Amino acid sequence: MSDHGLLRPVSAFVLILAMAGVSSAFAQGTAEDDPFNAAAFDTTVSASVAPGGQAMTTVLAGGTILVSATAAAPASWNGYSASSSLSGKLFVKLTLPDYGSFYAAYNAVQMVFSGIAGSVAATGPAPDLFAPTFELSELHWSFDIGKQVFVRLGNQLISWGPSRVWTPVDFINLQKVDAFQSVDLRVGKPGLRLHVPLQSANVFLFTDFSGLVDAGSVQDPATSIAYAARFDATVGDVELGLTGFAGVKVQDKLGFDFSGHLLGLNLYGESAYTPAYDSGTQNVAIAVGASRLLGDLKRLTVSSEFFYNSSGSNLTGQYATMAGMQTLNPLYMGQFYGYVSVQASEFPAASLTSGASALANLSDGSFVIRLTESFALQNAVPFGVTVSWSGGGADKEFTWAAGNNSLAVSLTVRADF
Amino acid sequence: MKARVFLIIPMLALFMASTVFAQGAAGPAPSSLRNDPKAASLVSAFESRLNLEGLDLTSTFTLVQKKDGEADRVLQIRVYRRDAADSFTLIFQYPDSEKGKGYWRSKDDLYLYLPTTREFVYRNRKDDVGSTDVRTDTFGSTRLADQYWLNYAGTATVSKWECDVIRLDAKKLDVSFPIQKWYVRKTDGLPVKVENFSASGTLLRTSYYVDYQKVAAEKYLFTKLLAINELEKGQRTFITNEGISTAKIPDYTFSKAFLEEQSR
Repeated sequence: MSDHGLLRPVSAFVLILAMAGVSSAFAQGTAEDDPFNAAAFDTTVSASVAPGGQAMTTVLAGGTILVSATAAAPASWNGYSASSSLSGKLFVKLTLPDYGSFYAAYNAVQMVFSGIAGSVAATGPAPDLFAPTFELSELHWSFDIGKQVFVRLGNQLISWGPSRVWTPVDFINLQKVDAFQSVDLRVGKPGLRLHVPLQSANVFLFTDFSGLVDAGSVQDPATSIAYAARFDATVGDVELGLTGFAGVKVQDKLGFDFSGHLLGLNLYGESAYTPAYDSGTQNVAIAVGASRLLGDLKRLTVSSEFFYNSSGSNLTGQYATMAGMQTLNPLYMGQFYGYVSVQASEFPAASLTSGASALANLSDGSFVIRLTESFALQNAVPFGVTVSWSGGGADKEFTWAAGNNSLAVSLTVRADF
Repeated sequence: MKARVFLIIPMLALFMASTVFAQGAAGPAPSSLRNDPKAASLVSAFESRLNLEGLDLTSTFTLVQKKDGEADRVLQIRVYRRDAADSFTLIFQYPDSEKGKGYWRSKDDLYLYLPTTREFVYRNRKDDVGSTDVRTDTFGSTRLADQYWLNYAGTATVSKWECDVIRLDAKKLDVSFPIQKWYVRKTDGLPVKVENFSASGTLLRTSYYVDYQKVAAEKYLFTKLLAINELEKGQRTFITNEGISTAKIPDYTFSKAFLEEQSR
């Protein structure tokens, strides 16, 4: 047998092996070779999907950081004030199998610049440029009982009611939410919250422990604990809510809210009734709002909100004094307020979002008009610029601090992670 | 005179070639933008099978996004769908970093809920779910005749199936893609392949409907879908749809309040 004769069967064997390999590869295939190969599809997916179903300890951390710089000048231009700060909220959530979740969030604020020049007067204590302020925002433990009752114990913020700017049915939180702040730096309230989801509704109960320690002394729980309850339901396209708040030492409150769609409008409202109690006067507060999306791509949003507060009044000339006594309650001191805004995303260019808004205390006639521009440019840090003008007369809600017809410019950078 | 003719011919050829290239893979636009009855009938037929009016539908989508040279990205989304109200709610369930995010569609309005800021952000149909190659339209019912001009574009073979091809040209701006081609299997009238194009005719994505499940009489739901990003080589998203239930869903599920509640 010649060398060639020996090589032929070997070559044929190798060729058969190679072809077998190739044909085998084709037989198995991949989802890319044949998109309709369901077996290959399943193999690809199962190889990638993380093991699910098994409970495991997880730790999740995140937050929001805001860098801002603001300069303001009175109409006379004979001075200015300027400030800059880093602030943010950082959170961590630990979930343990069988034990539920532990959540902690801290607020941090560090002033990095503060200056006053000319005839502008300081409106508060000087900030500390060396020491940041830390504040516990929320610290709570959440778990469920058979997925029927959801329990949360600890310091927590509560979000009840659909309004954006004025939230009269927010009876529980220590501070009202500030819709114009980029980061919510409020502090939660100690309490126990129960949530029972029903077929088309929800029942919430909140036991407010914040009155248990008053002026450094521990109080009788029977008289110091306050209670809140909320029932909300969806009826057709409308969400309705009924909220109550009561306790021996607190002013009782009853609230109603709704949100829904009508004629292309997103409509919402909240109303609260507070009967007279000790030094507290009877009060009726009503907030109603509407927004509408316009344009083929719904990139234009027009929104408005109005607020009536029966115990509010025109406090012209009293705001500086109230600030000194720390009794200011911004946006809830006048009897009538109004807010309108227009926001256009991807306008005038794809990387820009433009907005204009006006906020007015209709009782004292003061207002603030804001023009905002958010930039999301390629290869640059996203940032926003706001120019605001406060007017309507001196020593009113929006002018007592910076002066009548004052202008302010602020630059903000916000990062969420 | 002859020299001029010789110059004009190559220029004409160049012009024609450039026109063809400008049209790209989508091919030439229909001579007039109107609904071709045959195309409209085919679309109506498959929408009647895929739109689940009269049924509530709950299922879990798993999206596996693969990119060459990068680790796979996995998302799990719980979907609550009520086509009779033209509404759906999506809740992100995996990974933990996305948990609590969700979408809520009510007719033409689509909102993304961001639990970190407790904000509802309005989104349009061009929104890619979780930065994958899938747009929100994939999860709900379709009303293509309201959004597109429909034209019959012949037949083609996709895998082993003979298909009718329908070209869609957008009537309005709020659509997931300006131009689409749907390949509808002749045997059962279900789409097996969809090509998405830019307004200039560039092929952007191709989706393959790998498998369907019958969920009621003459009602189908895709259970496996492969979406290929034609611009990013090697990037594709595998979608499986499991845990399908047609049990009645509480009305409350289709509300902003439900999304807020799920994130807490």
